[in-house]
Parts: sequence; C-alpha cells; structure tokens
Amino acid sequence: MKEPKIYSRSYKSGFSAQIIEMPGFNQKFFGIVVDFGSSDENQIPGSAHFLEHKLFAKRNGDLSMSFEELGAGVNAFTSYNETMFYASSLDNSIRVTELLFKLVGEPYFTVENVAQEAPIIIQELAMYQSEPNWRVNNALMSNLFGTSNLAQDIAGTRDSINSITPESLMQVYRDNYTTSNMRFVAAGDFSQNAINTIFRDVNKLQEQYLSVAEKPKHKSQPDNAKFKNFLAAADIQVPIFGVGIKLPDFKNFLASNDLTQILSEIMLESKLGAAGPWLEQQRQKNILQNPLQIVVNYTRQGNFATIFGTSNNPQKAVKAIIDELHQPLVQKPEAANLYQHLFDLQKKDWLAQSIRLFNNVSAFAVEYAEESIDGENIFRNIKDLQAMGFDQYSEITTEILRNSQIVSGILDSNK
Amino acid sequence: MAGDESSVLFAKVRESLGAAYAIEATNFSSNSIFLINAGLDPEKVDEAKKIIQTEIKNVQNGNIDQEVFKKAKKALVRNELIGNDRESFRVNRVLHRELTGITGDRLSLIKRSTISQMQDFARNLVFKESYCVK
Repeated sequence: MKEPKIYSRSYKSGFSAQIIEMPGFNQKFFGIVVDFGSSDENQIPGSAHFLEHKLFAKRNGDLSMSFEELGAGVNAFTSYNETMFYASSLDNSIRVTELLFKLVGEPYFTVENVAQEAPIIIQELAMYQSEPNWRVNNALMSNLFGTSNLAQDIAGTRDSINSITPESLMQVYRDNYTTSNMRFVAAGDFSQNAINTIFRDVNKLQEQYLSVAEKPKHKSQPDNAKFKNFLAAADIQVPIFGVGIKLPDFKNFLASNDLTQILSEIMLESKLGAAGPWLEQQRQKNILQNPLQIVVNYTRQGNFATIFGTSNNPQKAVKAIIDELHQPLVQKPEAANLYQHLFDLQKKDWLAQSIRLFNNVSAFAVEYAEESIDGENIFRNIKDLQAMGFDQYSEITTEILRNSQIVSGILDSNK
Repeated sequence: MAGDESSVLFAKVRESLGAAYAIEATNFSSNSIFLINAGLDPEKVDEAKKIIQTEIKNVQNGNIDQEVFKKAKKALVRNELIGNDRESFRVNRVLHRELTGITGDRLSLIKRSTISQMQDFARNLVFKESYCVK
C-alpha cells in the first residue's frame, strides 16, 4: 500500500489544515469539517442540519453562485457528529478556498431566510419519511436512544424545524463553529508551491473568519431508552423488519472506534450476510429471500447497529436473527474453520474497499477529514486490520455482543 | 434546467416556491426520454408543474439566460474531467462508445455547444406524460 503524502499545519488558534497530495487527478477537493452534528446536545433537533443549509445564505444571495462562477461545485452534509462543507474544482484553488471560509465564517440568518428554508427542509425530511424503512428505523432509534438527539432524524422533526429561529441558529453556530472544532482538508494534484500558498492563505482566512475558542466539551444526554419492540401495520406489499442493537463503548475494546466498528460489521456480515451459511438456511426455510442491510455506527452519544430486511414472515425473520446473534461465534471446531474463513474474506473486502478509496479524490478526502477529526488514523487502522488475528477478533466481537441490547421493529402489511 | 444552484428550476421550484428539496433533469439519450423529477410538497404540485412547463417553453422560445448557460457548460466540463478520474466513469464511456458506435470528443462537444443548439433540442421535445406518486 502506497500512502498518499499528507502535509499538515496547526495554527495557534487551534485550527488545523491538511493537504493530501494525489498526483495525476483532475479533481481538486477543498473541505472544512466541523466536529458537530445532529446528535450532539444543546440544540433544537435538526439545528446542525438547518445550519448546514442556511450558511449558504449571504447578504448578497446564495454563495453557491459564486462557486459556480469559478466553475466549482459546492455541497455539504450533516452526520451524527460532523458537518462538512466541500467544493470541487479543476483550478482556482485560492479563490475556492476563500469562498469556503466565507461559507462557514459569515453567518447571515434573518427571520425571512430562516422561514424560507423551513419548508425546503421539511420537504427533504418528507422525502426520507416516504421510504417505509424510515418508520422502522425511527422506531428502533427511539427505542434504543429514547429522547436524546441521536434518536431523532438528522433533519429533526417537522415541529423542531419550525421552532428554529435566527437566534437559536446563531447560538448553535457560536458554540460550535470555532477554530479548535474545525479543520480544513484539501486533496488533489497540487504543486509544492500551490501547497505552500494554500497553507498561507488558510492561515489568513481562519484568522479573518473564525472565532478562537477551545473545543466544546460534550456531556452525555440522558436518553431514558425503553428498549421496547415496535410493531405496526402499513399499506405496503411486503413486510419490512429491522433489528437495532445498542453496542457498548468501543474504546473498552480497542483504541480505535473505527477499527472496532469494522470488526463489528465483519462479525454481523459473517453471521448474517450472504457469504455465510445462515442466510441460505433462512432461504430454504422461506423466511428470507434477499440479503440483509447491515450497518454499524459509532457516535459520541452511543454506538449501534441496524439490520434491515423484507420478509413475508417478519416475526420469524426477527427471531432467527436474534437467535443467531445470541449464538457464540465459535461453537464447534468445524464452525471455527468456517468463521475463520469468513473473517479472512471480509477482512480482504474491507482492506480492498479502504485502499480503493485512494482512487477517488473526494471520497478519500471526506473519509480522511471525518476520521482525522475523530482522532482516527485510516492508515494505522488498515495496518492493524491486516495484522488482526481471528482469536482476537472473535474475543472482541463476542464481548461486544454480550454487552449489547437488542430491539426489533416490524412494519407489517395491512393485507 | 436543473443542475447546480443557479439552474432555473432549482431557483424557481426550490428557492422561490419552496416546493422541493431536490429537482433533477436527465436526458436518457438511449431511450429518447427527457425526464424532470422532484420530490414535491403535495400541495404545490400544480404550481411546480406550471413552472416546469413554462421553463421548457422558455427554452423552446430562446428565452435563455446566457449566464446560466455559461455556468452550466462550466459545470459539465468540470463533471466530465472529474469523472475521468474514476475507473467506472471511463469504463462506462468506453462501453457506451462500443455499444452505440457514437464516437467523438465529448469534452469539445460540450465546449462547442451553443444556445441555439439547445433551443433546437428543446423544440424537438414532445411532452408525453407526467406522473405524480402520492
């Protein structure tokens, strides 16, 4: 594996910048990541996402237009603990970087423009809610994380979106958009001279646009989770089910949240995925026809996995999944060989996926930005995963499951 | 019509009417289908449809904002070159060329395209049908 060369600068204000040298690519990527997202506390649910939308509004109109004039595309996303603003261009590195700092550093919230944005975000939320999976996922998250912001949709709720004001947005902005809580990442085919110029410019821009403050301290939010199961009927053709697993603190097992997340996904894929025997057994019993969607997430507010699928026998499918989760990974010597083989396969798949990221400027830069703001090191994790043995993996994932709580959700057909 | 933020439908359907989060326009050249689609506020479907039809008429009649046209060309050039960074994009292009026999430098075609060519294309569009899934 050939690691891309990464140049770093840390500024007195607490702000930091990284430039990833990726020779031969046309795309130049520029991003600013904020260590603040939808599930962080002290915000009306949906504020982080609303802020992401509304920062594009400036006194002279939508700043996206200025990016477009330079031939650059701009976008942003909000996740549970991060918000990222990014632009892609072929040239104009300095002007694009300047616009990016203006984007995050010049809030312009008015009663009118906040009121104008609310219906657009409500429409975005409605789009997600139109997916039948959304209802099951929402129920699982509420039953796992109760009243905390992690249980809410990233966009918030219709009521919470309507209750956001210019003042509440400004407060969330001031608390979180500060030098120690943000970092700049660029990636692409830059000359040494261009790299030096970008760093110099970033230094001036962070002084000009960002407030100096220490990193906000996050307090855990009481969630009063009830761990109930969910069952409802809807006008759908094939029933949908989900299993939600509240996972323990990953730091109890390894120094890296990311690596523990990968091991958890490998374990769930080995037990329930298409490569293992379990899914085929469920097919033969006519319980499942299609592979399950398995995702593991870690956040400051808690870690969780969700498993989604469709089945004409959703109760049986949920029971089969929960039974399989309760089975030890290694029961008999022949099972040990099978799971060792599946572990090796899944490991190869993960390593290939991670290394393939180096072929994609924006995907790699986003991954790098998100991981570095979480204190993760993508290259070390790749090496650690390569070196990880089956016994250690089996021990860690068995302990993770032993310390987990499971809930289920079923959206059955009215018919 | 519906690309980056300065595009006509993004400005009118999303920003002014507040009817949609996203609106897209796609030309499926192999099937001869030009599709405009959006997730719309059910109460604003009729207004949004009216805007879409008016804007297609505007292009057919040559009422085209030159600045928006220039920006759209820049965006297409950027997308083409950035797309060329990706293996899947390049393989797709090669397969398309092999299957259709259509050759030519797409990048220079984008750069050479004119407002009147776009107007001619729009004039050949026949409004066929619209669907609203509620």
